[in-house]
Amino acid sequence: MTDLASGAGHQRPYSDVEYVFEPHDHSLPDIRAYIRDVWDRRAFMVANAKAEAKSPYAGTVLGEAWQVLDPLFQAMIYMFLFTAIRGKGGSGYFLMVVSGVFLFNFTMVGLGRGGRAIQRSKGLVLNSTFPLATLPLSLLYGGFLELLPTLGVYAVLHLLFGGAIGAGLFTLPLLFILQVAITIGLMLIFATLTVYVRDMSNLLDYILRILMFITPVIYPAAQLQQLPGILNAVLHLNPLFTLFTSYQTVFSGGTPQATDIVQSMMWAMILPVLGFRFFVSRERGFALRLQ
Amino acid sequence: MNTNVDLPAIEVENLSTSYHVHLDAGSTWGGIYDLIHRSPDSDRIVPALRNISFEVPRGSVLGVIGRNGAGKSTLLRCIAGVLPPETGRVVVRGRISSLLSIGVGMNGSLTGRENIRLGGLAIGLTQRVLDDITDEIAHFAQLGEYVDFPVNTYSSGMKARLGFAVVAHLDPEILLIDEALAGGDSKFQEKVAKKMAEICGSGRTIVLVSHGLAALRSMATTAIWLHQGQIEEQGDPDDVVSSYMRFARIQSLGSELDF
Repeated sequence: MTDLASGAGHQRPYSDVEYVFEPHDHSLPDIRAYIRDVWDRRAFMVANAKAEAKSPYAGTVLGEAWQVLDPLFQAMIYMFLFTAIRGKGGSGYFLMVVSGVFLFNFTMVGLGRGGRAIQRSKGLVLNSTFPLATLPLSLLYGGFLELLPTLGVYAVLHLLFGGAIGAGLFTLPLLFILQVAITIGLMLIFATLTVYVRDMSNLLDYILRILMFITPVIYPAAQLQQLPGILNAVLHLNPLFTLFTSYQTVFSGGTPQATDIVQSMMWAMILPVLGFRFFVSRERGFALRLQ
Repeated sequence: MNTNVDLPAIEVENLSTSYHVHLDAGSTWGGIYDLIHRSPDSDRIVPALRNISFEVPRGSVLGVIGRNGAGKSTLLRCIAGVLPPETGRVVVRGRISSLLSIGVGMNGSLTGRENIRLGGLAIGLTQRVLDDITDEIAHFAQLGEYVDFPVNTYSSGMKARLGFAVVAHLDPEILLIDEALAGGDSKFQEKVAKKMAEICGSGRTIVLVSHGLAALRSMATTAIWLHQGQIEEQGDPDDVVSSYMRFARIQSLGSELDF
């Protein structure tokens, strides 16, 4: 081939960047560079979260009020259901269900939407190169934005229904950070699985529903003490179990048990590392499977 | 400064790649197996490119032709780094337009402006740069007020125009253009040709995938004809296009005889 570069006009020099694309194995890229890359895409993540938040409520009369109404209705339904089953209710129970559902909703959004993030943004994935972890992470950020107003609503309800106020409330930020970390870990695992195993996308909703019922969200954690020891032990393996137990303790005026917090911390350290490695080592192959 | 001026902008060596397609129910286990073992045999594998090798010198325009499904878009995706090679390797020297056919990648419920913003931010442009070029892009693509309408409301021509405008305005050193000339009327095609000449004149490198044989003939400095994922012929655009046209005519004759 001949070099026909001798076109008219001034020749601008090329930059020194060089990309070499080679067959990918499941090796990890430079993690620090990757994280820096993700951080550099903050603006993208915010824009993507907004774009995704726009669609479900577009054209509805109540618009973004649905972000509060939706979990609130959910909480009401569960409360009615369990009051009917248990034969007793009360404002304490009401507050427990509302706080549980609101907080769990954040994990639900992260896993449900973030877990399908790659397929949702298929167009972008197939036509541009960027760190793909930004996609699920941006959807989780969207879930955080939806959580904020519901927390405000809960605070009002808590005061209105005479919820207990104790020193344990100071542990809330820590508990939430642990929840974010655990959710990110699980989300990245699901986001990878749904690309490789199509059924995962269908299965995800059931997994999330099961996850909600094996987590003390709409029933008191103490209620499970009556279960046989082995079953109780198995339920405790759920990464969200001790975390939501702690939430319940805090909202009823107590202080979370140290053992519960330690167990949640372990999950919050293990899962993000696991999920991140799983996702990042396989993301180069995603585009091949998105047809 | 730049030390490897004489090296080609793009080097493709023995490139092969395939898509993994799930077709039947059995693929669930295939997917799980694949996840653990990275075995290429468990999925339904559709070979897309087979043993492709070529070089693109700096400042030249490579035209890629071939029928639908010949692997043209796949080739661009491999050069852009979206798809990993299965064998062989791709070396790209220079900043590349890593945003391919934005028209395909656009989110229909967002406006043109929002799509430009999202795609631009994804490939790492800053908000300030995007503010600067968005109006230019909209103007070049002749979108008018439609830039603030959802992309769902665009005609296919508008989408193609927007797609080309975005890629051309990102000012990459190596441009990958997919079917830019397919959409848009003759007046816009003139504009595209002028813009491409301008880009080439400043020493940029272009890889152009197109069905517009005449335009490709006039713009490309070399051409590749892809057929079923392999290079059927490469060299002077006139020769390659003639061979391809001869082939296409025989093909259509053949299909007429089938009746």
